[in-house]
Amino acid sequence: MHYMRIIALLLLCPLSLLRAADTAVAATAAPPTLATLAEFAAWLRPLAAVRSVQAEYRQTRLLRSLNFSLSIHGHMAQEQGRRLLWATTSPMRSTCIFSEDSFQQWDAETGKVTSLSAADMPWLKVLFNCQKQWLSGDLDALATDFSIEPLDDHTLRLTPRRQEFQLFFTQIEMRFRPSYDAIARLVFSEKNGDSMQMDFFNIRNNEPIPEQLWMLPPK
Amino acid sequence: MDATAKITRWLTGALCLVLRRRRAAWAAVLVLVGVMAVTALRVGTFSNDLGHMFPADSLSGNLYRLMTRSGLGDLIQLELASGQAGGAPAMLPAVDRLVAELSGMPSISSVDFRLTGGIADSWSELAPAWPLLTDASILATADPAQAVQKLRQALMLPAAPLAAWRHDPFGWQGRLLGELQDFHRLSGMKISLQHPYMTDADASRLLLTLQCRPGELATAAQIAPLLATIRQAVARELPGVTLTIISPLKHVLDNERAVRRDILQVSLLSLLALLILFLLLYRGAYDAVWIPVIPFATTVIVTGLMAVIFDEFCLFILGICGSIAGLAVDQGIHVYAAYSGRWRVRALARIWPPLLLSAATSALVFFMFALTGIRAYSQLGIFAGCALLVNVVLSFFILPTLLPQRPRLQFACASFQPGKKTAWLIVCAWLLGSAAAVSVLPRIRFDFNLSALDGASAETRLSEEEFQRRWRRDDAGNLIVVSANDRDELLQSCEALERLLGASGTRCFHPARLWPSRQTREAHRQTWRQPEATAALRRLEDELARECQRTGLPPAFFTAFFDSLRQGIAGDAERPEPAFFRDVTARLIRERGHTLSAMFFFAGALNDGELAALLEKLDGLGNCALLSNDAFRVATGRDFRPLASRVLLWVALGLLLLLLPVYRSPAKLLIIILPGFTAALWFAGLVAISGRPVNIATCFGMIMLIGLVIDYGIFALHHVTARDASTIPTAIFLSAGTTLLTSAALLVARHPILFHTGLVLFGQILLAALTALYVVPALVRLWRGRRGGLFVAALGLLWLAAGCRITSGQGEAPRQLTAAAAAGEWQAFQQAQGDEPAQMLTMKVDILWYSFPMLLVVQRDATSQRLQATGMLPTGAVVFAVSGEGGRQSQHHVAAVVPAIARKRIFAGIYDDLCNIFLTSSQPGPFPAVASTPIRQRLPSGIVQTLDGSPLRPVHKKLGTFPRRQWVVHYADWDDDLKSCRRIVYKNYRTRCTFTFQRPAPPEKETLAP
Repeated sequence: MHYMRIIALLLLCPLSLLRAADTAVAATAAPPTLATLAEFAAWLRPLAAVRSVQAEYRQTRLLRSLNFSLSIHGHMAQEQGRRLLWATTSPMRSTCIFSEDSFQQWDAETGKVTSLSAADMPWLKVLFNCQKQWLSGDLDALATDFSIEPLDDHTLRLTPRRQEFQLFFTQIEMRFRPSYDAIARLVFSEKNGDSMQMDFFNIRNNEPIPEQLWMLPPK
Repeated sequence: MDATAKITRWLTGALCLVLRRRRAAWAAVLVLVGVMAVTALRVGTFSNDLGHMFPADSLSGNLYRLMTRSGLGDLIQLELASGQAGGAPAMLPAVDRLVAELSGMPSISSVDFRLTGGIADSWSELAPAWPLLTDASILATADPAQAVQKLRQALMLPAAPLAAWRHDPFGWQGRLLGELQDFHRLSGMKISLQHPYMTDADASRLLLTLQCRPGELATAAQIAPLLATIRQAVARELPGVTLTIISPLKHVLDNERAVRRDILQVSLLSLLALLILFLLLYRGAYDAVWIPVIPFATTVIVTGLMAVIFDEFCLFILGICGSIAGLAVDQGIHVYAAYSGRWRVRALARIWPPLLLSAATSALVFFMFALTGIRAYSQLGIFAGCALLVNVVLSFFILPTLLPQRPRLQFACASFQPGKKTAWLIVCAWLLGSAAAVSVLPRIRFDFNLSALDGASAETRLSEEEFQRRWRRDDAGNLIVVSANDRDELLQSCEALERLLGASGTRCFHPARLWPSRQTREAHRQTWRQPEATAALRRLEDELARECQRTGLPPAFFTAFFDSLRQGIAGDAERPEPAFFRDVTARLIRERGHTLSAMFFFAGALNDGELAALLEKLDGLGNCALLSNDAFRVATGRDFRPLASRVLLWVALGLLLLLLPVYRSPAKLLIIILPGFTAALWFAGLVAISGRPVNIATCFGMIMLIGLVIDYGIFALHHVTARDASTIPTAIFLSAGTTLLTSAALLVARHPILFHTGLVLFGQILLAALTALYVVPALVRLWRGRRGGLFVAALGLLWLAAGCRITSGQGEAPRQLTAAAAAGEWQAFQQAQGDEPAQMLTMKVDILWYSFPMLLVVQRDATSQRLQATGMLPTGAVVFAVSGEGGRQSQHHVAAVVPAIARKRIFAGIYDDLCNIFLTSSQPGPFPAVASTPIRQRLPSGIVQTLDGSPLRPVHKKLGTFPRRQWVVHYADWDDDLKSCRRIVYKNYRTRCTFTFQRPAPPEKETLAP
């Protein structure tokens, strides 16, 4: 359950977390770094205009204990508050679509579409509740969940406050594009020393997403 | 000289002696009272354990004891409502401060609010625990290819942590999540699974559960300050938030407050009643004040005696006994009435036989309580019996020493000597009343539900109902509390109970479903140590490694899982349970002193028969109790019904053995029991007519009153057989008046126990006194000098009829329904009555001695109140056809062949009659906050409607009351879908027509002759 909640939160990161950051940093800031955080929050204002995003990504998983790394490539698309598509093209083809009421996954190996309703997966509600919460400007929730500090002019470090988040990640680093209108990189550090890095490129904000993209199995 | 004369002479001498040495007698009594008071205080040990109210080895007693041991009664739930959806998270910082403050309160042992931990915390912990959680047969479910495929799918998900898959390749943890889903479903709690704290689905409310320290909150004086402190703390930390407190402790508080308020009101009213008594009945005689002093002295003496006899005496029984001793004031009244006039000592001596006999019969009834095997009732019986015997001696010998000489009291209304005509009138009225009471006895309903005696306020009940609606689902499972002395014994008991229930395929959840008992864990581990299991494990590990390698994953990806499993297999079954389980089991297992109690949930609705069978099974286990109002009702019924029957039989036999040697005549015996019998019969009839169910307090009061009202019979007999004018009618009148006026004060009480006790006292004493004063003299007047056989036979038949009728009168158990629930059920009934296709019924119209059978086709729509009906002869010829909507008739056709008189008497108003029968009001009017079935309602149209059954459906409807009755309709045997019922009887009092509707028998299968 909590694992799913983390996924939900992470899914929101590309857009919502950043938009929330400008107020949240002000709310959670310690006095010595207040000016920097406030400044950072001001830089993130372009995110407010983002209604949809499409990007390609490269996800690198490092299993430290096994000294093994796995690289996954794919693309993603997100409509704010509605749905998210996460597709991988390598090493296997797979697509999953999250919406408020359901979760669907298709993979090329089995060729099957697996569907789950919100009743089976309460975390789907979490996903959209959080999203609404953050987009509506209720940023206290974010401040409750993470302590936030800027590492440099383009990077924020989020340290989970809540126990159930700490079980999964010790910290999350978030690097923005120079224009501050999208995330360029996300790095999740896990408790057991494993890590996961996501690099986003070819990012397109507010471009129409073809309806065909939301069909499973993909055509 | 006969025996009575000898006794009278001897007693006259004894009384003269006591009167001459009155100071010595007073001194002796005062010394006795003093000694006994000191004994009661020094030697006596008093307890307030309600468990003594139940038979030692009974279903209800065990239920009560286990419930008390579980500590569930010490829970307080705080609901904090933010007033807006999603408002709960904003309250969290303040609630955390509140939790800290509440946890620091001395009477609160723990506060449950946050759901700490998670399954992720136990990934690494769970793998070595699997050999303890389940046996090695789980290995057969493992599929390496599928495991790797699922892992690869997971890898494609964004940011999915892989630790879960590394420690659970085969998805075994899904089983645990399934268990938790069972828990969530069976517990019936509507809490959000998306938040790590107790909140509702839209996160507008938070729920805190406080466990109080055992034994620290037993009285209102202890509970009220705690609740006030909690309210203050919430108001301080969370201003603007609505707080609702739900706790059994609120019932304790409400009950105690209700009793205190009632006692104040009843005391004031009793004072007023006594003033009226003093001025009107005792005519300002100050010496009458001595009458209640004697029972008071008796109470002190007998309390001292009980302190010596019993090692522990129930405090509440002391209170009840005090009341019974107060009723013994009747004996003083008889002495007071007799000890007046010129020959007062002789007159007093003459009433000794009936006085002693009445005290002996009453004492005998109470002594029979000692044979029930119920500790509290035994104490009650012995106390009350001793008190009556001691009181009769003190009243007879000491009270006269305190009374000055005064003229004889006489009440013309009490000294009734009827003429033959009046006697016939009275006897006929009595017979009619008795027959009417017998006829309505089948309608009597019993409600042994404890909530019927709960004096909790309507506000508390309503808030509980609202709380249940918000936080509990309707499909919640049943709850069994399992008790044991240590944790492992507790887990074993849960497993044993599951096996017991499992025989009937019941789904359940309990702590051992997550973490089994040591014995089971060890048994599981042994299966993993078998060579076959070791080989299977090795084979799985190799296959997984190969599969990983094949798909480009590291072969050692799952090695940690297999290492953990082997560590668990090699380890000890004593290992501590994983942290994740602890969070759940902490909510399921409660520790109270040296006793541990676990909550065991299981699914399935139980009817009374299944409930009784389950209760018997659980009772056999000895440490399990099903907690529900219905379980308690069924258990109480099973325990007390045979016990009550047995006690009544003993009482009857005892009374017969006591009275037969003295009176030696069946007619005299019947006269003695007549007032008591009439009182019980008529009172039961009145209760049946009122529709009010008989509860435990009413039953208990009626049994106790047998002992007291039999006195009226004995005195009435002595009065009618006395050769000269006796003081007995005056004494009966005075004692009845005293009891009636004081018990009438109880009728204003709001607490159900006090009210019902008052109702029984008032009703039965009134009826017994009226019978003794008027019916007995009338009967004796009519049958004096004749053979009493007819009288005996008539009474015997009446008794037999009453007995037969009452035993068959056990109906469906009453249900307690809140306004919302009742309105919901009524709405469901209305929906079922929606636009229905036409149905055919047989219809029989009876008028005078004529009967017209026909077939009726009726179609109705409850929503638009539309009705269309056609009556036909069995040949198919139409007799009438009517239709209309909203009560307005639009079509009315009666066949020409119908005679004019029938047209006028039967069919002129047939449309209205059919509307009365087949249409129900969609707005039945407001339901009371909490009502017991059957629910009786007066609709705005004046129609009185009775709803009963589950779900609610009309069983009776009428307009007008005697002598202005208009019509009445009875519905019997509704179908399960509530669309129609099998039999309807309608009586129109204006036209004198009776309509009987029945569903036609299904057509027989046609068979062709070969």
